[in-house]
Amino acid sequence: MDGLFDSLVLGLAVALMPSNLLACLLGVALGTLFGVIPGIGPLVAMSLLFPFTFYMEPTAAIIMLAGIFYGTSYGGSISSILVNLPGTPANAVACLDGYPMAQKGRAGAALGMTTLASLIGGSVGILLMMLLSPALAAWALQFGPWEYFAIVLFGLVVGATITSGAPIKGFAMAVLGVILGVVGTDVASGLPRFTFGSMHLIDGLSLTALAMGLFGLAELLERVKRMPDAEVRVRKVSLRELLPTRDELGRSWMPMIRGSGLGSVVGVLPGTGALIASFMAYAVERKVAAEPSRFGKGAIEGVTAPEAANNAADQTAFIPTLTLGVPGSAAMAIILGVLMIHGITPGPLMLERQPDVFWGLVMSFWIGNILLVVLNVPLIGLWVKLLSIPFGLLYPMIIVLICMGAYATTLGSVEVIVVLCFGLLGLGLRWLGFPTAPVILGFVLGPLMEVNFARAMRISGGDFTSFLTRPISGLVLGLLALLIAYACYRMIAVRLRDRRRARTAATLRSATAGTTGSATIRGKSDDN
Amino acid sequence: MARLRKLPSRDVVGGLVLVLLGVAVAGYGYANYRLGVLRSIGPGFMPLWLGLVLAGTGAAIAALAPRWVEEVEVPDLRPVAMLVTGILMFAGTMPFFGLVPAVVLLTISVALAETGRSLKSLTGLVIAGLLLSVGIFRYALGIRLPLVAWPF
Repeated sequence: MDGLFDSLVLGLAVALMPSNLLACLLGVALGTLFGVIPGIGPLVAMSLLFPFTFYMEPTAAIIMLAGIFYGTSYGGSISSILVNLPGTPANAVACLDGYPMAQKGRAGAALGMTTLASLIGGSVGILLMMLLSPALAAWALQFGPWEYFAIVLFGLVVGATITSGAPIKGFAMAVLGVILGVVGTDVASGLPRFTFGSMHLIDGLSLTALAMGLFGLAELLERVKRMPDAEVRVRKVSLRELLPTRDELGRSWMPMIRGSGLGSVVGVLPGTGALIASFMAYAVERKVAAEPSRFGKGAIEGVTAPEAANNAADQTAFIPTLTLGVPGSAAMAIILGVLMIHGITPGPLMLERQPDVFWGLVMSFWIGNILLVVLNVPLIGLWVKLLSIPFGLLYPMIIVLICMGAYATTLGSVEVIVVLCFGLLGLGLRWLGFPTAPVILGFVLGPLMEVNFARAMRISGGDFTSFLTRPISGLVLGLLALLIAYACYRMIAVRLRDRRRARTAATLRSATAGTTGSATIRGKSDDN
Repeated sequence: MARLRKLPSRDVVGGLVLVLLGVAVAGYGYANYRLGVLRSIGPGFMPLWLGLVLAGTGAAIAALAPRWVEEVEVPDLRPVAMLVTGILMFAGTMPFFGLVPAVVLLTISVALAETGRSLKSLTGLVIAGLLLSVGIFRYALGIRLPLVAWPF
């Protein structure tokens, strides 16, 4: 326990350094800001601010990006509750009971309680991270390239397929991401691949451009409309209203604890981030509730449990990312990418070699969560006011930021054009109903997969069975095979049923002669 | 505004695009890079397999499409075109004429993606865009970006 205590002291010292403190404040404030704006989720926010991290110390950069990431969950619930528009996908569940609460005049209490729930969820997540990371890292030190290949492949496939509605499309996008990651100089042979003679591509496509284009720009290309949306009307919330009644507080304790626990577990797993955690927490509360009929009509448990869960998941998602070096979601892939750009390789050795970065980040989570409460409670009026700014005034500024950020990273226009290309790619993928988040995951995990595969094959002399005979990699790959087989079975069964239905509907329609067909709803890609 | 039109299903189009892309990647990789053997894989190993997997997945997506033709809401291309034009103008202007003209052109083009914008709102946006970019990039980050330049 002594070791842990020393680490925590070191981390606290790092996190309290003025520059890191400032980075943390900036991160959580910007996170809340982007979280409040409906439609701008953590991925867009992180990709927008990605270029700025090049001008910062690695520790400060990562503290800021992480702050943006978990800050959006705090901010996102504000718009869910007040205007029934989820600020981020993970806050969608908070609409179900949060908005009815607001209609009953309990908006303030809902906001106050979500802040408390978020703090509790976040705290449980950080505690787990502090306690589990050293053990997990020590265990992972024994991993060879076989285990790494297996875990990376597992993380990639499961992470890409689990959140998107159509697993096979998510898988295809992950493969596309891996292919994009191949572009550039091959580490093993030193040969340029898919550069087509361009000097700009020798270093590979940049994660910055990919993230800014695929998430930031593509989101705007899809959302900007010729006719602006009607302005949202937002009611004012005063500080005093934030106080919950004794009953509301009493009802929320157990849901918050259950939500935090559930979220922590779900957050560690690949692919299942805050979004799934919040949905599961809501479902659980409805199951255990004495009167399930209250849900959907403004039950406080329906707000606090999911919000505790998504914040806990946000924190525990860092555990596999930092201790194994295997991110489970696109946002974590960006965190990993930023660390690598700064010359820090996340993984079991990070705790040994860069304990200041690791523990500094962990301790900054505490500071960040406390800052978020401070930002959310007294400044609630400011965030509410922000909600009433029309999107038409916000998006031009966001585009200016994207263009300037892209230009500034290389002081040249090529990067701007690359961002534009990825933006159009992202738009095309959204139109076709393909999820874009797995592309980033594949882009970051692809090179790791190739390197570890090559290394494993070299050591075992080209013996492919070595992946299966080593216990851990064999287990992970076996589990993956089972999951894939199950997913294939489900998908084919569902598609065949759909097609049969469509055919019956078509024959019915031709029988009744010329009724209008139903319009298809464009699939929303869920960025997680 | 939303027009509905019967078009090939998105799954079929997307799947076929992926097949083409996968075949192209695999073919280009196979033709240009050494494949190597399992014991020591060459630079062409991953591209070949990734391309084949992508093509196979694309084919599966197209084959499993619930229907071949569907009614699709045709998106309005005007806002997209305005955004793209603005960004291209920015990329073309910035290195030669400096930050101010580039940001002004970008903001105007992008802002006009929404119709019926007042001159007041447009001017406000241009000023805000300039303040934002100069403030953040030139002062806060200290990047030397010429405000106005004349290359000739």
